[in-house]
Amino acid sequence: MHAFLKGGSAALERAKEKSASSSGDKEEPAKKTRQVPWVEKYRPRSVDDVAYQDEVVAVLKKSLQCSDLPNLLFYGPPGTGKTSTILAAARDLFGPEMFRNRVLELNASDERGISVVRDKVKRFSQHTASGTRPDGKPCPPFKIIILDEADSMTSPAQAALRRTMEKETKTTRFCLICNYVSRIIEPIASRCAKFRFKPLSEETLTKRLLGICEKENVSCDDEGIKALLRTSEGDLRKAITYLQSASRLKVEETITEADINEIAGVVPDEVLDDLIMICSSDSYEKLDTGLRGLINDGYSASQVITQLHEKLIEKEDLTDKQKAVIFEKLAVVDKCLIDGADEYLQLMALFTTIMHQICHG
Amino acid sequence: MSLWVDKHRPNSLNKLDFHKEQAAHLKKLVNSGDFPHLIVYGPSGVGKKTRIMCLLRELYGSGVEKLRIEQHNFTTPSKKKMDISTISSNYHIEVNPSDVGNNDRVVIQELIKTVAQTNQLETSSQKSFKVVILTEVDRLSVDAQHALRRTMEKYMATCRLILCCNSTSKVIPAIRSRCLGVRVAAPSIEQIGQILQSVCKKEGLSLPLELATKIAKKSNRNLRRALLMCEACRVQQYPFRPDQEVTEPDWELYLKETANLIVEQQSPKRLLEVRARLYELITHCIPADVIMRGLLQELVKNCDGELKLEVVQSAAYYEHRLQTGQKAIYHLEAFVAKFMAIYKRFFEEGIADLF
Amino acid sequence: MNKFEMKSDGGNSFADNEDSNDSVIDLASSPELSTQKPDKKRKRDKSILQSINCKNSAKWVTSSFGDFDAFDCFAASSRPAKSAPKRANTTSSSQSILKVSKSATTSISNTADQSKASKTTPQINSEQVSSSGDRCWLSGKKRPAYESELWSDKYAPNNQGDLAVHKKKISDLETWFQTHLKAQAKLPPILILTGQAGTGKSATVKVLSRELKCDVQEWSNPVGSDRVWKKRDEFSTGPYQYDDIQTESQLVQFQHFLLRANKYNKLDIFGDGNTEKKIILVEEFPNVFYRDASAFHETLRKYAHVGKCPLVFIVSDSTSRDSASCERLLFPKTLQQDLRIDNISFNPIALTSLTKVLTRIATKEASQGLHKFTAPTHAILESIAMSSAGDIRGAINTLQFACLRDTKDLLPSALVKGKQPVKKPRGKAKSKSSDKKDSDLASIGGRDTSLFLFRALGKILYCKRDDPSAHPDEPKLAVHLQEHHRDPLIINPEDVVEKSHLSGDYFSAYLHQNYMEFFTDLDDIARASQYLSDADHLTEDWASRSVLQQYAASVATRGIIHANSARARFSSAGSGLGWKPLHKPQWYTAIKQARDSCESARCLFKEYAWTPEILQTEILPYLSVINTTLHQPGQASFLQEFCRFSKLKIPGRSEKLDEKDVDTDESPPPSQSMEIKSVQDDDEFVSNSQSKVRTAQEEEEELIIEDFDD
Repeated sequence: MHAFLKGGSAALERAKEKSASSSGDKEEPAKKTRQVPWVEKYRPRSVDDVAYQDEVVAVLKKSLQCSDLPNLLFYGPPGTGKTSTILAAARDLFGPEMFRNRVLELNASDERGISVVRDKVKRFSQHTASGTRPDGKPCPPFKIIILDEADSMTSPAQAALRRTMEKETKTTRFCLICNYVSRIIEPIASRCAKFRFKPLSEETLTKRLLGICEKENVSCDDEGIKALLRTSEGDLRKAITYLQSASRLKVEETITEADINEIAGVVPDEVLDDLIMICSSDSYEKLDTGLRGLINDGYSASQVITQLHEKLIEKEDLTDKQKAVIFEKLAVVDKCLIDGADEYLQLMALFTTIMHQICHG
Repeated sequence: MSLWVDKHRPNSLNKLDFHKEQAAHLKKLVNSGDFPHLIVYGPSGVGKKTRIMCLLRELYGSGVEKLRIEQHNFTTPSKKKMDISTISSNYHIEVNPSDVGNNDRVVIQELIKTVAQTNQLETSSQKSFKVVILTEVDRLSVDAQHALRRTMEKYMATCRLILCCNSTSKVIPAIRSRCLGVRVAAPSIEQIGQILQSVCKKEGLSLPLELATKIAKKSNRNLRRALLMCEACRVQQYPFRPDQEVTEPDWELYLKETANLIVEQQSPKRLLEVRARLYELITHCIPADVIMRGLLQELVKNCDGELKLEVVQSAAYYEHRLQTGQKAIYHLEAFVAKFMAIYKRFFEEGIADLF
Repeated sequence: MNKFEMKSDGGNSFADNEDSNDSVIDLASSPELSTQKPDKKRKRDKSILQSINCKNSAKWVTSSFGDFDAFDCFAASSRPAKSAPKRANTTSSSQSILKVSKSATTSISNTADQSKASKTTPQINSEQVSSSGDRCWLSGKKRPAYESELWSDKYAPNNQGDLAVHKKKISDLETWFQTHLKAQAKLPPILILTGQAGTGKSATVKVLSRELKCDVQEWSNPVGSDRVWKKRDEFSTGPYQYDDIQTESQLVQFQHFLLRANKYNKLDIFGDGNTEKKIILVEEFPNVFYRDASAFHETLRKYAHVGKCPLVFIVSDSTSRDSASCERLLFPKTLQQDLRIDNISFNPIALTSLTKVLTRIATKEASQGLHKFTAPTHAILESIAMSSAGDIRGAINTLQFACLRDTKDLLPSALVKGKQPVKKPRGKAKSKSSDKKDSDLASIGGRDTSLFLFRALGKILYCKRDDPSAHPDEPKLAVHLQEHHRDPLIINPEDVVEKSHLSGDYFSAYLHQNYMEFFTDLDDIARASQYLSDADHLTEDWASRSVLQQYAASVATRGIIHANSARARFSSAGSGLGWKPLHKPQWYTAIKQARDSCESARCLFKEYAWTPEILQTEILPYLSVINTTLHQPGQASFLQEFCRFSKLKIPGRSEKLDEKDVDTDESPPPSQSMEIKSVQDDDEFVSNSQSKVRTAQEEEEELIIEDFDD
């Protein structure tokens, strides 16, 4: 098996589609239905299936018709279908047979130093590709290299890539996928056609989720779906993963809002409201107990901060100045938490600020 | 003779003492024959690992309890050799990758690869996958977490990961979204009290409710600590008296003494004494953030409202720095100095106001 | 005496066959020469030979440029040699010398070739060398025109009385030798000697072994050049290539050495009974082991199986952190436990003993040495002793170096800069008078860093300021910022840090350890500590650390200077502080101890399988209270150590030493007696409390400097 042809999603789909010819596949046919994450299972098969990204789809379709692609740069928040789109496009271009030979998917978690870019990418792109499929149909004479999470590549690696991109244009198209286009060095960005993927709308998400529920025979009440929409923040992958997780925990039961919240680790509203209440009481001891309780219950501080932000921004009995002070602290605390600071201390610092602002600000 | 903590550890999902509903869910999950990757999180001493072991037992039977300690050797790309000890049975392997510091990434990749590959030869086991338990995932480097994410996808067919951590804040979203999150909240004071009493009963001792509650409160909802405290009480004095002193670890007492020294007097000389005591704590392997938290807790008791706020802010400020910085003592000392300055000023102002 | 000289240089110059170890052994085991005199002669001869070798090579290179006059003294030494060229090849010893010089010649010829020298030169040269060797051998009593050997070798101690090492350590080591030379344990005894460079570790071993009448076999790293040049000889065509199997063979050779040296013990029955006792000494480690410590461990374990005689390792450690890790790398705790390795650590030589030795040498040399010079005054010797920071070898070398010139120069005011070449004409040295202000930071060949460091720290902490009236155009601060006003500094903190030759990181650690005593106001301390915290915060990212370190040092030094409001004025400079001792940072020892005990805890309590933090903060403290039966004896003692906090009012921090204390430091602190640990426990897990026992040792590290506040 080609070590570099190991893109998880590609392999899985391959396994599904050609279970007859699964020479080196690890999946056992019996387990397969269970083991495939729904995210993979319900990945769009063709560009037409791609949800919500109409502009991108239109452009892609056009270039598919003339069987040519520019180098691509997809960016946008997670779970908006960037990877799905390019995989689907590649499938449309090459068909399922050629797909595995023509697509190289490299992930951030693969080794992706300069050497890899130089060796793997080069080796893959140096083989020329013929212009016909085995079944005689014409297909584009190039290969596609998908660099997922390109923004986590080091800039020397990106610089090395730029040379390769230029040299191999005859045989290879690159598709870079990232969340933040600003982290891609300018020379590369300028060599690619850029597409922005926007967060999915609620309707699209609901439609997809309900569709999956139906196919998988899972019952999920409206509140559950709403909770999914809320927790996933436009990220379809997250929503589907949560749905699948919930369905596994609650076998043959209706999935409720509480289940979703539990899986997503959402802090219940009452808990947060309590804490804000305590803040207006101006009692350090109460706050201390409350926060310890929160942490002992296993809620993560980053989740608390996210939710707190939403709550406070709509809180009307705070003046703009108070909010400004609080949110500045919130930003600092968030950064500190990312750096690995202690959750209790950081939350204490945040909530004492809030307390001070509410009572004395 | 082993510690009560080990001796009375429940070994099946049915026997768990709290969060029974969650246990039932987990059981259902396992009984379906398969489960996704799990991330089990919750504060220290709530029995995350116990829960995981119960789950595995449910999955594989009692074979998982035959544990052995192994040493694994890895070589980093830079040719540095390191070894890490793992605990494993025929069905699972448990490892704490943060033991090897910055090279955790290699350990994760290699270890999981080895496990996933050897498994294929071993078709006799009834399950088609092995379980890899990674503890202290929140201490993994970001690099390693990215590697983990990839590895998770790659070896989905042959192994399942159970990640164990105190908080998901430090786990990258990509991993969180690929795992089924299992939150284990700390047991309530009452629950701990009951558990203590039942453990004592098994030991043939009778534990008065007052003492049980007292211990439970002192333990700060940490079951492991509660059990250790209870056992220490037993050593100290039996039969139990309801008003018995609950033994605290030496270092905590030492830390409290240190805090008292700070409150007692604010002078450069005293600060030097405090520094020496901080060093003493550090050489005894007490993590700097624990010291900081302990100090804060004691110091704040002696402060008034406004002052508390200021102290908490600076504690959070310096704690963040000691996490990222190299020399924790700088930051601990800076915090103590800051506190002394604030506290002294406050008192001087207070006295000035009197006249 | 002779035997102990069979070290790297000596061994190799005599060893003409490939395996230098064999020859080392041969020579070492030859019956002891009856008197001391021939010994000495030979030694001198040899070193003369070496110096001629190198000097001649220097000559050959330079002479091809036609610059003979500059090398008067060399010419003088080789002139008599020319007169007796036929004396070569008469004795066996000169044969070997010839061979050596041949190999040297080839090397010279190489250079000579490059510099296009005439073809005949190498041969003449070899004759010169060998014959001059002979010559000196015969006329040994004549004073050569130049110093032939280092005083540190010349005055190497001959008996226990000569040793400047602390009596306690000597007796520790002696006891160890005595017990282990007699008794045959299951495992061969292994000892590690640690301590700073120049604390007399090797000298003590050698003296003691002589007194106990046992042999010392010493490992020396084979020097690559022998083999490389040989190759060149045999296959003289083509560009020369370095032996790329060198590392491999070094390892193999080391193994051979250990095992063969060991075997030899059994065979050697014909010698007089004395040689039956034998010690193997390893002072330098083959380089491979630094890269791959496991190979070393394996070798050691192998030795533990077959070995018989005591094996002594000498590991010099210094203030740099690498060497500490080297010790950890080569002798990890587990290995030390498994093989029952004992550990004795040497402390820097006390000032008094050092001065005594220096005085002895100086008087001797002044009367009998090469040059006539008046013996340096006691004050000068003392200053040399002090600047050497307990390094006796360094101190003697400094003395020798200093005595080359008139001792008047030794007056501290005119100390030459350490790196200045000896032969430099005086005029030039004086022309550097612009540097004068800086040069009082320096001293002759002392341990630069420490001396510089102490002064540098003093400069920062005492932060002398200039008279503001001298700087009338200094900008003024606005009224509301007046509290931040400081008179101009007379030092530049960045310069000071740079001259300390320390990384900013390390320097700020020193500052941190010491700043507090120079402050009187708590608010100032709070501010200073804040700056230190800032400095550490600046360097947190490893990627940018190397760059930011300088800035961090700036922040730390300037921050501390600025924060000290009591010393903000020119007028306040001289007041109040008086003399303060400085200390070494505790942080590194503290963190090392923490790491060690963390590691030990993990090894010992493996079966508990807790994460380190839980183990250390919860399980272990309670384990010590609960008194469960522990399965391994090591656990109990570790627990006891681990959970004991010193309950002193002022724990950890040792009492302040001052100069007087060092002077009278004849009786060691009682705690040191713990440092030698021979473990007789038969259980596999032995006491692992080494790391903790040494807590008291910190006290000795407190070092003293003179007063800055004059």
